[in-house]
Amino acid sequence: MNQRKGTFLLFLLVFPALAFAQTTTRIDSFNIASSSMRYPHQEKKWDFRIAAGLSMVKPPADLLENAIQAPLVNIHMIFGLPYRFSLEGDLTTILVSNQLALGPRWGYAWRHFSFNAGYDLAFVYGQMKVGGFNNASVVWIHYPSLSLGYRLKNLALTLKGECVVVANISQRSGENEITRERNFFNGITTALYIEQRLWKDHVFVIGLKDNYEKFYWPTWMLFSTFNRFYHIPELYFSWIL
Amino acid sequence: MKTRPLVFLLLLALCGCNKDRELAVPTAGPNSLINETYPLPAFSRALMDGVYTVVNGNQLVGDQVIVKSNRTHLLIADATGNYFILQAGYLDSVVFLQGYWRYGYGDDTGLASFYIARSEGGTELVTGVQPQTLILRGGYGKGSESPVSEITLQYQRPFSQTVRNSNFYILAHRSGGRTSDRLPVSENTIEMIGFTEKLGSTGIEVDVRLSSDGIPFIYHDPDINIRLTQKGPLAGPIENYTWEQLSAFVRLIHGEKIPTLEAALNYVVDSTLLRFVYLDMKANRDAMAMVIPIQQRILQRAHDKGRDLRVFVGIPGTEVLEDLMTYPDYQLIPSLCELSVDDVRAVNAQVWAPRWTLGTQNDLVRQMHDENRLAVSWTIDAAPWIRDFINEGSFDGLLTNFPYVVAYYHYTKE
Amino acid sequence: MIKHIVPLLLLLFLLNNPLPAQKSDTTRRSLNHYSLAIGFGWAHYINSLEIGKAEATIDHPGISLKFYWEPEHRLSLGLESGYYRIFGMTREIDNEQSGKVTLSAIPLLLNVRMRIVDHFYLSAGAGLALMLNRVSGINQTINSTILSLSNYQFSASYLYPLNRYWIIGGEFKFLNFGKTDDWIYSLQACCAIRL
Repeated sequence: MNQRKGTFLLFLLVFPALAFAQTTTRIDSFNIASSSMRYPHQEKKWDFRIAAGLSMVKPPADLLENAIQAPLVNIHMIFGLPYRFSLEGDLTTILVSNQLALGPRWGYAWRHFSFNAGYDLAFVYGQMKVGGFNNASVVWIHYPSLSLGYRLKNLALTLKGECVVVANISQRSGENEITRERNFFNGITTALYIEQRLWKDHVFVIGLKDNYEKFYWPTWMLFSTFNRFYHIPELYFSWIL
Repeated sequence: MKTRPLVFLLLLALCGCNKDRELAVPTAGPNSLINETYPLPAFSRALMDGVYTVVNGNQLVGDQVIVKSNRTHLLIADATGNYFILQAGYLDSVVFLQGYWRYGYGDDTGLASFYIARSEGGTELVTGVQPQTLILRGGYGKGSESPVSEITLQYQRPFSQTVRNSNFYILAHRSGGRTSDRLPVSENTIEMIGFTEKLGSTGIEVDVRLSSDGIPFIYHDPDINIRLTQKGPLAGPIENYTWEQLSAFVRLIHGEKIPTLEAALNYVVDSTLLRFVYLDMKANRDAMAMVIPIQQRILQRAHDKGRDLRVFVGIPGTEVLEDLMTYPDYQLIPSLCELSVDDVRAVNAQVWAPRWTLGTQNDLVRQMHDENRLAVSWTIDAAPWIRDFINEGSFDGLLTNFPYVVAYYHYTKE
Repeated sequence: MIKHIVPLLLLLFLLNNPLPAQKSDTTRRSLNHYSLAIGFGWAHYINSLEIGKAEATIDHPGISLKFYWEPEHRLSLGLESGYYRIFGMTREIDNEQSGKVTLSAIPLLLNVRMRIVDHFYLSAGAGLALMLNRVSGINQTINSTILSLSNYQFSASYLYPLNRYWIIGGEFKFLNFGKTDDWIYSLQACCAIRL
């Protein structure tokens, strides 16, 4: 009798071990608004995020005298501040020409919609040896902007418009200053960004942008004298890290 | 599918937004007044040459312009890239000028017309006498609109003695300008050579290539592409093809045929008053043996016809320099060297042609002059730089895509 | 009793270890995979030739090859290549001779594809292309190979999985070759295998 009781007791001790843990219901807590970078939203205070990508640009054939598509490497950064503010930085480079833009944003969201207003000051530096001579370019550009966002369940759409005002261009060839121009309206840009998850919770950005500009900073080394606006399309891919 | 055209348009917008390779030249049409007039003779048109004050119309052309006659037309040019190309005729001692204006750095253009009243110089011009007073009254418009915006030009002074005595060359790049400058004819063509003098050019630069069967022709790019040619079946390196294939399959964007070098130079001799031709040797392989005999024939023809014409084989790089130096008696070949002054001396080039970004280099230019050589600079397009080079430099010519700007600064020089 | 207790305790020990606490996870269990697809069909050149327009033949077969990385969400990234005859032409030069010309392209594009609704996808890509131009007749045959640096594709496709590995479907795409500024569209039947 005692033997049977002991066995039964042990069985009671062992049996719970055979009871598998309850499988919990999968919870998808992903939030596209807070995981995106282009979609205007309240960035978490003091939070820093970064995205890396490529822009495929087709400069005008008038300038290049050829149909060329050039990849611009892009790093986009965002830093959350209080009171719906954030700071955005953008570094775009094609090695011989580089643009660093930095500026604040203020945004507001309402249901699935949101918007932000921003201003960037950009510094462009380029250097290239042509015909045996060192050519260099320094440009300062203002980019005031407005963005309008719409959020679906797992997808964010953003429409962004920017004004481009060139504050100063200084271009040199060897010892000689070739170009100096100041304070002119250089055009507008319009972009549509789509952000969604690509893999796990990592968000991928696809963008389509039209740069309607006279002076296009990646092509400074052509020393163009044309006084014409061109549509310069850009296909943008980026991975939020 | 209704959406397909919309999708296609969106795709086209992404992939090819700058399709405007052409800019229509405004014309007043077959019933315009100029067709009812007698053509104003060349010697009368030459009497109009001078510097003019802009009394009305400053918003377009500033305060001062030049008027310069050429073989067929009149050019009016200002400091910022605006120019007029006008035909001249007369009726009852009133002189009429009609044509169009254009902003060379952009796409603004429109109709333009002037008249010179009998008492304001018309009578003297018709009779071939230098007028005491010369006032051009007229208007300009935008696009094909009537020329209703007033413009009045008053003769101020003739070109200075310095200018009249100088032998300065206004050299037009690619025989007149680039395709991207949206002129009414294609670059590097006989049609452009016929047009270039209207822009104020007194010389041209052309790009020389070689077909696979050794025929020199003029064409800038290394390949057949949509920048220069109408869309056709051929693509790839242009020097892969024979002359017969190029003639059969390739047309330039305004419909012209690619000319052979010899045909282009013969046209310069027979049908223009151009005085300087720079042969920019772009051929991938050694072309001197094919080009120099053509140069010699043309120079002989020009001499026989009493034409003041100089044709230079261009040396843009060391490979071409070495190619020239293999030619017998190369130091007697008229050549233009873009390299250093030492290279100029090595081949005994008659012209030194440094890039404009090196500056005016007055000391080296003086050295070249002391050695009886010419110096021209290339390719200078920005108006402020053209002004500085003309006022502060000593070059014998400037190569440019905007010959009318060079004309303005040259002819206004005191 | 002890003879029963020890084995039971051992069993208890062994069974407890392999039982992990269930982790909560915001992602689905990974459905990451790759696919290789081949497409074959009809390609039509949107004839924008200014010389020889009437003589051009503009309908030819086209073939595409795609390799995709397909993570668990809507987006996929991939590479695409293929071969397309853009146009062919026989052009009379004079009474005695004629020339024959063909232009073909081998694209190499980086694609992004997005599932819109079940089985229906939209895709866009950019990249390079090798353009092959052949001219024969008029004394000579000339083959030219040109690298086009500015090329795009936009497509819509319907892909139906037959089973865990095989997928069939159809695709309609536009391709632009920037060097010659030529557009073609292509309708292809596709077959893909999940790797």
